[in-house]
Amino acid sequence: MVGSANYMSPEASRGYQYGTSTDIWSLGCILLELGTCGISIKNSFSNLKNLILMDPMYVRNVTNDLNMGVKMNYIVENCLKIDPSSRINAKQILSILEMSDLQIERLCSETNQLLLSKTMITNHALLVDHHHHQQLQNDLNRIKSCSSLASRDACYPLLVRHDSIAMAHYLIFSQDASNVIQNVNEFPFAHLYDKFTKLIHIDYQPIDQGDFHIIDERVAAPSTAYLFSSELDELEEMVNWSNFESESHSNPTSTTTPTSLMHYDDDSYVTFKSNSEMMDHKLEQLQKIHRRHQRTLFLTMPQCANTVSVLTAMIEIIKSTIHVTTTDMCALRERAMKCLASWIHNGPLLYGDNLIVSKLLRFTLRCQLMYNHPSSPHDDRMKLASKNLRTSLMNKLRSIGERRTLGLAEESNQLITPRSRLHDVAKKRQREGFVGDRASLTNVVIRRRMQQSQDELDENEIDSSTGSSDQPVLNYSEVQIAEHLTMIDYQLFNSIEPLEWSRVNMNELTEEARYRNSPNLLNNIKHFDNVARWVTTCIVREKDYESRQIVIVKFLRILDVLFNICRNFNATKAVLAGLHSSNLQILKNTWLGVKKTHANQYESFERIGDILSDDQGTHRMFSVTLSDDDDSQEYDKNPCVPFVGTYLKLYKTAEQEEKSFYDEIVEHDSREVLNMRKFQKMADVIREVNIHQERDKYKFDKIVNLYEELRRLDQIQVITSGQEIDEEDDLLLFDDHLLYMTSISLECKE
Amino acid sequence: MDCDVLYKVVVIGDSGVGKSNLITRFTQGKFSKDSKPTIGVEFGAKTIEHEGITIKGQIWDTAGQERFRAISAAYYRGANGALIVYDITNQETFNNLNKWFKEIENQGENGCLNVLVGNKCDLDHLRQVQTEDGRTFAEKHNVSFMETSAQDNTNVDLAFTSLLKEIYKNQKKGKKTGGNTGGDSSAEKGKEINLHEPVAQPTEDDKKCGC
Repeated sequence: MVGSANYMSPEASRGYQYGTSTDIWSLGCILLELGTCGISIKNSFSNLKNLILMDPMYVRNVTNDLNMGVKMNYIVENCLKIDPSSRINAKQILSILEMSDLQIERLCSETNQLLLSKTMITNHALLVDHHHHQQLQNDLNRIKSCSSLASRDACYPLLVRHDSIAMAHYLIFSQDASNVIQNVNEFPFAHLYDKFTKLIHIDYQPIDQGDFHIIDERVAAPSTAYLFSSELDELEEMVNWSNFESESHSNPTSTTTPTSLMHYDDDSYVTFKSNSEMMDHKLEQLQKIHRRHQRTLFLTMPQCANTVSVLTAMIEIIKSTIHVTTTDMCALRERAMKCLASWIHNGPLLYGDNLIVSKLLRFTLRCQLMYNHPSSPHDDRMKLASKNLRTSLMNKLRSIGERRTLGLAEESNQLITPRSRLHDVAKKRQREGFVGDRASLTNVVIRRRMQQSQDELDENEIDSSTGSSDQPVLNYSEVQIAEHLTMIDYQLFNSIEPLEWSRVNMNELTEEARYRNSPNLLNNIKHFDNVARWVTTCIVREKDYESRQIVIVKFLRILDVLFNICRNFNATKAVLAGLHSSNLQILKNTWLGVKKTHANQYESFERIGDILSDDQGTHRMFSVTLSDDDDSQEYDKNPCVPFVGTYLKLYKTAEQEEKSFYDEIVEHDSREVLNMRKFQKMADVIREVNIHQERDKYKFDKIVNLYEELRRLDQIQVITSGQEIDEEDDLLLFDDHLLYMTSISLECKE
Repeated sequence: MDCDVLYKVVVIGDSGVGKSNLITRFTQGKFSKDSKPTIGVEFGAKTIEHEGITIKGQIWDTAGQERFRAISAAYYRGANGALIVYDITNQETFNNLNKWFKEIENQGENGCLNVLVGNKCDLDHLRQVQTEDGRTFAEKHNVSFMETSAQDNTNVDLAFTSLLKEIYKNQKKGKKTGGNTGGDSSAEKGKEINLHEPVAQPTEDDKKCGC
């Protein structure tokens, strides 16, 4: 252990790798302690990490209450970030101390954006749909065709009903955008369209020379996106203001026009705010202004939605220019890609928004395939840009994965006794409003039923097998074992990255290089083999018929749960492979006994074996029908772990079966054409995997001991004959020869 | 069904010896550039005519799954024949043949007929394994032998069809094959596989006991 537990960073206390940022966390703890004037971390914030995990705004709320000053609040808040990479560093702290409060407030606005969107990105973000476009276009055309100013004014309500994003989006991407703008110049709200024009041009200007001051110069790109959203917001505000203006005109006491206020810089605005001679109703108005103004800085929910729209817009830019090779367009596309990459790197969008993540995954993959293909007409800069884009997405996803694991581990520290457990879970779920969720309720019912039957059986079995009861297999119920195997499989499967599929079977590579190329995929396979070997070893280790039969029946039950309830086809295949092992089949008498005494169980084992006996049948269990328009399709989200081997086979078959190019003869001229079918097939496999990886998480209760034990399977050495066997150890893996020798010695003696 | 009998044939050997290419070549799974790709595992299958009946060979490939050591049992279950492939330009794949023969002996069905195949014989200038060595090895294990090339389609059809015919002959005679060494000699009657039953049926008493 390193350091005092209460001041330790999450990564250090979990035993993960840590660097200098771990001290920053501790600094944050101390500062918080100082700020609270001695209320010790131990007592009040004993579970700081969990509190922050549960509520990303937690530290902000605390610091706001403490009122330690803008600087200190900012520093403390940014020291106490769960993710080490987003924590502030020492150098930044020093520069913060140099800054004015206002500058920090500006910085906050961006941080705030990150935090809020974490919890609040909604599908609303993607409302920029075709239907909306159509409507907007119609409305704009109507305004365009108005002959008099008065009739145009009358059209105004038509416009305000549109989302400002949709408007900007339309104006940016529609070909006659400039036309529309020119035509509406006399329009009473012409300044609004000035803004639109700027928005359109911002994309073509170098970022640092734009009209807009960039708040954070660390990375230009997210700021552009930020600018997009803040500008759009301003637009929205102006629309509101315009209404407000007309109201205030009727009010003779009003001395400030809101529009002029908009042009105040922050300092004068603050002075303005502090004017205490304001009349009450004016103050109220001002507070309104303040709130509105703040909204531009402290982006709230609709603004977060905007950022995602901007992202969508970026994708659209790249997509729409993807086949064009003129220099202008290339530069634009490259910029958009860079923006997207750093946006992903710094942005908040990936927290739990599966829709946008899946969109990005597909998009980046396509980009990379396209630009990195040998026949691609695009130059190296595009290759690099698309590669970087992919890398930053993958890194981001990985860091989020890490975060999830942190969260998962924190949640599951409580031990639950098996008997009361299911009842509690069922109750809790009902309380939490899972009543409508039939699938999970059925699961609970089934599980409860199985648990009951298990309880009855336990009494019989444990009595007769006391000699081997320290094996985890017999200590925990089959439901628990199946669930924990599933949790591990789920995690392993979800860690596989798309590129690994193409790298996994390169023959000429050494083992080490292969692991470097596709670590997660190979870990999956390794785990699979270890589970199978473990199943066989567990059975072969038992010295007499009865206990062997008990262990076999146990695994048959686990198989049943894995297949029918957990829908974990990977582990089902592994346990099946373990049971089918020829070294086990030698034990004919044992199997005969199982068949006789547990006919039902054996029957179900044979049935599952038949279903999963070939790749076709296996794939049918979890195959996904892909549609051409995958954005519109909703896929089944129920948790499921597919068998990795199926996708390996599909990918390899697609890769090996067909040529990359074929000859096409056009008017006596033969030329090589890229075989898109092959690449599409390969991409489809990865798409299908992605769909599985986006499935919902399993909601199982975790028993740390069992989980850790099962995880240990991948670390222990395989025992060869001649080596000493530690009879006390629950987890042993025998090598093939030892398995064969042991099982032969078992049944042939008798 | 358009065939009288169905046999399962597995193709094994080190990765990189060209197993998939052999299968594609035999089953003529040529791509057509117009059809829409569908994902889904398809068996390589081909029907041949022999002595007035149609024999369907279902060819199982381990593509991509070679690394799953535990899964191999599933491939061998119910296999009627096996093509054991090595690469004539790679001595290592020839040296590993013992491992593959041992595996098919341990895991394969009793009546499983084997053929040894040296692939890539179009690359004669890179040859590391002499034809004579291959033949000697095959004789030692009492299996037939041929060199093939998936590249220029040498002997590919011959390798598969002769194996399928041989299986048919054996099954018809219901006699113990000479293809498998070791194990007991309780001749299990070769049975034709009824297409309406699952192909891979666990057989109860086919496992040998070493004592």
